[in-house]
Amino acid sequence: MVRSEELGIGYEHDEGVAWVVEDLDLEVEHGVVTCLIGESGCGKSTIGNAISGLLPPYARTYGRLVVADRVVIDGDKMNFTGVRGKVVVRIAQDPASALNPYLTIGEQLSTAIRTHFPGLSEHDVRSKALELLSDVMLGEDVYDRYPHQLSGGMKRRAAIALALAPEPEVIVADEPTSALDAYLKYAVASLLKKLQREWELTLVFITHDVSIARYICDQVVVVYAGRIVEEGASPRCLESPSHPYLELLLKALPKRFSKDRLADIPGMPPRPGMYPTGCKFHPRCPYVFERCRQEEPPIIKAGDRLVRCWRYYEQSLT
Amino acid sequence: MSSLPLRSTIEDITSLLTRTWRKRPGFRVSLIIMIVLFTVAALGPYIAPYPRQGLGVEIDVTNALLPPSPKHILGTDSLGRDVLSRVLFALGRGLYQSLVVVAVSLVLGIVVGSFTALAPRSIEAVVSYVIELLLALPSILLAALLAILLGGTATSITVALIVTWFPWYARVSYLQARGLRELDFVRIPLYYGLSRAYVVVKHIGPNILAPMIVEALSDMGSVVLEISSITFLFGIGIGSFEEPDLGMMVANGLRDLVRAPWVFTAPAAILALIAIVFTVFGEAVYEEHHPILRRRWWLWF
Repeated sequence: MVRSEELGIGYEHDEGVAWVVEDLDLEVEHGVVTCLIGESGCGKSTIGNAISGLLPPYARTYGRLVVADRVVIDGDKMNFTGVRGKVVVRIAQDPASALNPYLTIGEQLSTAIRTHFPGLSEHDVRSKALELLSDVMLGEDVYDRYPHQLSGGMKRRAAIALALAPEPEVIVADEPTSALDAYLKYAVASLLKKLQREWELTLVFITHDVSIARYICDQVVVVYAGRIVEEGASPRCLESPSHPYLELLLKALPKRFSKDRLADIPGMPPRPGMYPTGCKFHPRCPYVFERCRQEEPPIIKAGDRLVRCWRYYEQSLT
Repeated sequence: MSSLPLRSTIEDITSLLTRTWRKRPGFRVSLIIMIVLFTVAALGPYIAPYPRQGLGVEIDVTNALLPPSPKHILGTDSLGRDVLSRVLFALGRGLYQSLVVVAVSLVLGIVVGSFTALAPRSIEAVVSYVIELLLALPSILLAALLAILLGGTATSITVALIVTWFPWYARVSYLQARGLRELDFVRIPLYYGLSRAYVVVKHIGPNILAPMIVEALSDMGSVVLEISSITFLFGIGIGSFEEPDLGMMVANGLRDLVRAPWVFTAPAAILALIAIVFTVFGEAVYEEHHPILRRRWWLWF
């Protein structure tokens, strides 16, 4: 459904282009929930924006990106006509900014429905909007409400309903659970999971929350400094990490009944355009050896997953 | 079910006005006086006792500078014209002119401001520098200059005031639109290839209209004063000496201040009333809209 081949995405600035994502090879099958996990600033949202066609005008690209059998990025050319907003939609990080505060939810939903299904009668538009609202478990009364009259969780649901209006095939959910409390996080995640099953959607779920990822995903893609560092089938991958980055990330999760100080990953993620040579994770890696500093590891098949780490190189040769 | 983004704007404004009405006695008084003023201004030409003198087409030098009497309630001026009729005609014109200036500047400002915020970088920079340049120039001088260049008629003074007035609205709406343009509901339609005009009308306009109308309401008084200042100081803006205008009447009345103070007093009092009432009204609305400014008079000390 979504396939990228050596995709690179960067942003133009005064001194050139800062490449945020480099040589990305990603494959997402139809009807699969894929989680992109990584720290802030590692390029997760950029990948999400590229898939949903919402890169800003000053973005530069190379490689290829195929969404629903359509080549949308080819070299430095982007062509999202007919795909963006129709086949692939994005659920925004901040639902408050996705909804116009001066229009009721119903008006915004019916505008979207009318755009994508011209020729529907006003009555059908309204019943379709109400259907969408009930799909995201909102009452009919929400139709005539303004965004400020909804709670944070309801706004989030309304934004999801708005994204579903064009009946898309791929949904990119960019941190849909940020700024929600633990209960609502799981409510929104299970709603997305339910919608994904019922509508047979392909869901790209971007998060930095490993517990949510564990809960929802079929496929895990761990991103660090604009590269995939580990890719594999979810539950096993998150139980027994291969790449040192994921290992440290999982150690940093709070554990029940543990009295130890919460572990952290020393250092900061590198800024785009200032990535270190060799393995991008080597300045923070506890297992670092000489080769890591010199050469960037390729993606290596290690058991049931793909890892970008020299430690698995020897093993893969045999 | 026509989508009516204006509905919520109207609700916003009416709720703001009713809230201000409930809370502020000054607002109630000024609103009532304003309604009376507008009614009188609208009816002026019909209730004026000497409409031909009010318009200035008829003069009667034999009755010059008569003190107030039952025949001429506010007396007569140096050309023997009934001051009350003159004031009634001038009031209507002044208020009408200031309404036109505010309304046109508001629309022009919102359009310029919101399109500037969505325009490409270079155009955005140029337009905002031009707006800042217009803001930096002293508006009375610029308006006077433009009014002279355009021929010194009442229309020219309206145009001149619009030119000096709309940059304020353009600036404010530009800043508000800039805040909005980073939000997804404005950004994403543009990425989808929808036209800027659609985004301005559907998303930016409704979101900035209510605060802009508040700005405009609180500015009305200053516009009336500015028009009168220009006509008073430069004696321009009126096609002929005879046409009624509050600023001109004050200027002419000054000459006979000692012999006939009533010629000067009536238009000056009306001007002062307009200025005070409009300012109280505007301040009340503005402070109710930005409660944080309520105590800003502390800053004067």
